[in-house]
Formats: sequence, structure tokens, C-alpha cells
Amino acid sequence: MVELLTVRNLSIHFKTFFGELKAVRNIDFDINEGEIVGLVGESGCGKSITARSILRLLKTPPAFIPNGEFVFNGRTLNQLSNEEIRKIRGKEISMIFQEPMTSLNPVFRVGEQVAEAVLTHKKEPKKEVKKRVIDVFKSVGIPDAERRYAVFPHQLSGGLRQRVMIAMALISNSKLLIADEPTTALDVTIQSQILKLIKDARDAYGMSVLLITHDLGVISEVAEKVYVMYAGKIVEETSVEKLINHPKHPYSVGLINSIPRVEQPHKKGVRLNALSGKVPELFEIPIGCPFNNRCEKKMEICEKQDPPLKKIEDNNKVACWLYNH
Amino acid sequence: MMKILEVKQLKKYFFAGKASFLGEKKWIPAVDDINFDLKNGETLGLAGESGCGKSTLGRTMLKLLEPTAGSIYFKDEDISKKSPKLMKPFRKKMQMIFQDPYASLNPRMTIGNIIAEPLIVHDIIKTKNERIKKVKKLLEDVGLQPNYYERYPSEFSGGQRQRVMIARVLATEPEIVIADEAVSALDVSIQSQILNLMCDLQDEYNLSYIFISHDLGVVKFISDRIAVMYLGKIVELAESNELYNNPLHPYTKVLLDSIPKLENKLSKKSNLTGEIPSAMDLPAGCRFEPRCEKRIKTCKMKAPELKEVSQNHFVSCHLFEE
Repeated sequence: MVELLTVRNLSIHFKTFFGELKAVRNIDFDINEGEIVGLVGESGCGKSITARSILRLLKTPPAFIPNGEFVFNGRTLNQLSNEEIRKIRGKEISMIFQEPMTSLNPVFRVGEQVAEAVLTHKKEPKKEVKKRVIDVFKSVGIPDAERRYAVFPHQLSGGLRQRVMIAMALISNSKLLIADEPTTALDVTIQSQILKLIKDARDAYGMSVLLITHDLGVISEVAEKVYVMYAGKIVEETSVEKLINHPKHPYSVGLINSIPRVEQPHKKGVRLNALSGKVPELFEIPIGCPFNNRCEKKMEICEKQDPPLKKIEDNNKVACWLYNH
Repeated sequence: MMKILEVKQLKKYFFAGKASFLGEKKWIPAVDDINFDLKNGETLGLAGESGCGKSTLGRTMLKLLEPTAGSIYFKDEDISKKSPKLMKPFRKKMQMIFQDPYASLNPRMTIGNIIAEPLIVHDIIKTKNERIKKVKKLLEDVGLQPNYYERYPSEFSGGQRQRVMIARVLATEPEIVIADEAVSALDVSIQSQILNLMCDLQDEYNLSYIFISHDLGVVKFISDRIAVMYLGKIVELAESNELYNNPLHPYTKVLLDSIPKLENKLSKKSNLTGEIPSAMDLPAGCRFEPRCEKRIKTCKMKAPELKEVSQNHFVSCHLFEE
């Protein structure tokens, strides 16, 4: 498989009143062409800022990137000027966000906003673009597409707004779609429609997808490769099947076990295998392994040294001293 | 088992303006003709998508919203028409946990004062020292350290705030607790801790829960019986395992099918088309009819009623009427 995006040794820090917060520390990840990659973790683990840093969408300051390299399609994104990055944004890499209402401009018609994604990058006759927008609207399942071209975002439901955002990514034939919690604000029935749409778009256009979510159910339905993040680090890299059936890192295990599963029958008196404690704040991450204060299998070394991400079998890397002999 | 709460033909309509000055008044039927009961020590789940009326139903049951019609029996006493003054002794017995632990705690009060407030309002414990003792016991019961007493909500995380909220609810020793999306704002690892805590407290305090949530995995874990709502009506009501193993209503089927499951790939699923119609402009017959794949002629004309099709399994669908 051809690598589309490789990220090496990325760190993201924030300058704050309390000093420098190391929100993301030395992470590596790859996205291959036509692959759906999941990035999961609980709130505050750094998954969203990782995604935003790819397109340079972080506000600097307070954020800054002390080290890290992004190689997209053979080009090193770090070396590009802001002007050049803008040509990639929305054309080669598109992004959709959790709350579609805040990412669409309320005073412009949705069709024009999608057309703008094409027209910023290339001069084309407006009529033709309009026709293309309507075609894309149809392909993402927006009913009554001709009329919907001219409506404003507030006239659409959450599910339709998210479809408009996806249409925007499809019309510019992006190679990579970054979807940051695309279905979190939606109902389950609409969620499954949108997930199917993302998967179909991948199948039809060969687009790669980076899917960021806290919902392991969503990941297991659409993703192929998964990165589990905890407190600014990637703790496990694995395939979806392995994550669900044989999670290795104690945090992945805890995460999988703490989900109330629909498949299991209801029984009074049964309790969930909850992880104890909570995600540490960025200024109180423990020395050594960041998970050591919640881990049941803690050893002496865990409090002294941070374990590196190490390959233990095919398609499976874990950052844990248990597997690191 | 004894019934602790019974709801009969409960309705809550919201006024939605007039078409013109002399025009007809428009109403939104947020909760429309709901019947169910809650048994002592039981957990009843209310599941459904946003806008189906599950939160409105929860609030109307506690009379935080005035019901439009129908009756609410708390242990054989109809509370639906009681004045706020006469409601006071019942408020003590029926408490509510809200969704957003950041919005429901007063940021300028200490945790101790927040939990002690219902004790003062309902005049349960009169001396200050006794109250402090009680609050400390409550903090311990919900898994917080008693010396957090003098801290402010801003010093706590979402999960801890939800624990404070539960401690406040328990202060009045309620019999019924309505949990409105109590764990939705929390991360999965914290969510499971709070769910376990709620189960433990149910045994300890002999509570009956009404658990409102859009997350069907969570609802199934905690509920003994589940009512599925769609546009203000209960479409199906059954015991948890029965509902998940043998869903009858077409909407329940699709809803259960749409849940992202860990061992399930997307390709196998049946997908619901379309979206929930606006509550201002409801279909004349069955409210699910425009999206239903199994609709028959009657569905467009007549709204079905909730009927018992097998023991303790109620469905509101024409397909199951003789």
C-alpha cells in the first residue's frame, strides 16, 4: 500500500500561565491510500489537536509545534508557506467537524459554500460548478438537491448539514478527509447513515479518511487501522479486529471493558469493569508511563520510564513495559 | 411488586403560536398520551432519539413542567393537579439528575452547601453540625472524600461533579430518581464508574430509577424494562432482554440495528431513510409511517394504540393488531 500521509515525531505544546503544557508528545502515525484510520481516545488526550495540526489550523500562539514532520503525498508540509498550505486545505485535504452548524457560514447559501470550495482553487464557469454541486448533493443523499442548493444552513437538520460538509470534501476530490467526531452530535439512525456515506465515498473515490472519535463502536464499524491515544501519546497501534478481540495495552483493555455492550443480556447486580481514576490533566501527567496511576498491572519500571511504542506482532505496536522485554 | 409511580394518559402540549391574529392556535404534542408504571426498586429506561419527548416526559412527571392533561399517581395519590405548595412533600420523594454537571451546580456555592441545601429547604436536619455530618456521609457514599466538603465545583472534573449531583439527590432520601442523560456528557471510562455507582446506590437506598438516555447500550445495561419513544409516543415497551432479542415495532428494529456494535460491520445493516418529521407537522396516522418500510393502508389513516401483544410486551403498531 502507498503511504499518503506520514507523521513523524510530532509534539504539540501550549504556552500557558502555568508554564508549557505538553499536549501531544512524540507521536508517529501513517495513513495509506484508500484507508480509513481511526484515532480514538477520551477527551483531552490530544486527538483533535493532532488532526488540526496537520492542516495548520491550531492557533499559534498559544500552541506551537517544537518538533514533528508531516509528509503528505511526497511533500513535506512543514516546509510550505502559509500560502501553499492554503492551496492544500479544502482541496487535497478536507476536514469535517463535530458540529456542522459552526463550520458552515450562516449567512451564505449552502450550495454556494460548496461551490466556493471549488472556485477558490480553480477558475471555472459558475453554472458548471453549480451543476456539479447538485450532482454531489445527490450522491451524498440530500433529497431535493436543486432546491437545497439555495437554502441557508439553519434550514437544514444536523444530518443534512453534515452531508453538505461531506459534499464539500467530495467535490474537490480530496485525497484525505479528516473527520473530527463527525457523528457525535447526531442521532444513532442518522449516525449510521453518515458512517455508511463516508465508507461509500472511500470505496467510490479511493479517498483516505482519518476518523477521530471517542466512540469505539463507530471505529469498529468503519475503520481498518486504529491508534489509541492516552494523555498525549499513542499507546497502541493495531487493527480493528485485534483491538476489539485482543486489546494489548491495559488502557485499551479497560476502555473496551468499560463499554456497556448491547450484545450482552441485562442482568440485575452485574457491574461494568470500570477503569478506576480519571484521565490526568496535562499539568499532572505522572512521571514514567502516563497511565501508571490507573493501571492494574503497574510494575516498578512504569514509574520511572516512559515505554516506547514497540512492535510486538504484525500490525500491532504497544507502548507498555509488559510487552517490552 | 408494588407500583410506586403510575402515569395515565399523560399529555404535554407546547403552545407554538397562531397562524394569524384570529387564526387557530398551534400546539406541539411533545408528550402525547403516555401510559406506564414504575415498580418499586425497578429501573425503567426511556430511549429514543433527540426530539422524541423523553426529557419532556421526565420533567412533566416531576411537575417541573405543568402537564396539559392526564394523571400521575405517586403511590395511589394523584399529583398531577397539586399546587406547588402541596407538591413540596412529594418533591422530596422524587428527585432528578441532570445531564450537564457543569451547568447544574452553582459555581459560587461550596460542594458542602450544595448538598446541604435540600436538607434545609425540606427542613430535614435542623442543626448545622448534624447537617455537616450527613453531607460527609453522603460524599463518602458517592465515592468522594469527605474533606472535599469546602471545595467549589470548579475544582472537580465532570465525573466528580456528577457524583456531587447524585449526593445532592440522595440527601432527601428519595424513592424515585429520574436520571436525564446522566452519563451522556462523560467519557467512557468515567461513564462506567457512574453507572456502577448508580447500581450500587439503587440497592443501598432502595431507589426506583427512570433512566432517560439516547445511548441504547447504556439503557440496556441499567434498565429492567425499556420504553422506546418516537415523536411523543411510546412505540414499544418491554423487558430489556425481550426488547433487544425480539423487537417488534419497525422503529425499534431499525434503532437497535443502527447502534454501532463492537463486533459488527456496517455492511450488514438495514438503514433508516429520511429524518424525523417536524413536531409541528405530524403525519395524521401513525407517526412513523413516512419512514416505515412495512407500512400498510391503515397506517396512513389511523394512529395505532399501545397494546399488549405478549406478556409484558407492549407495541403500538397496526402490524400486530388483529
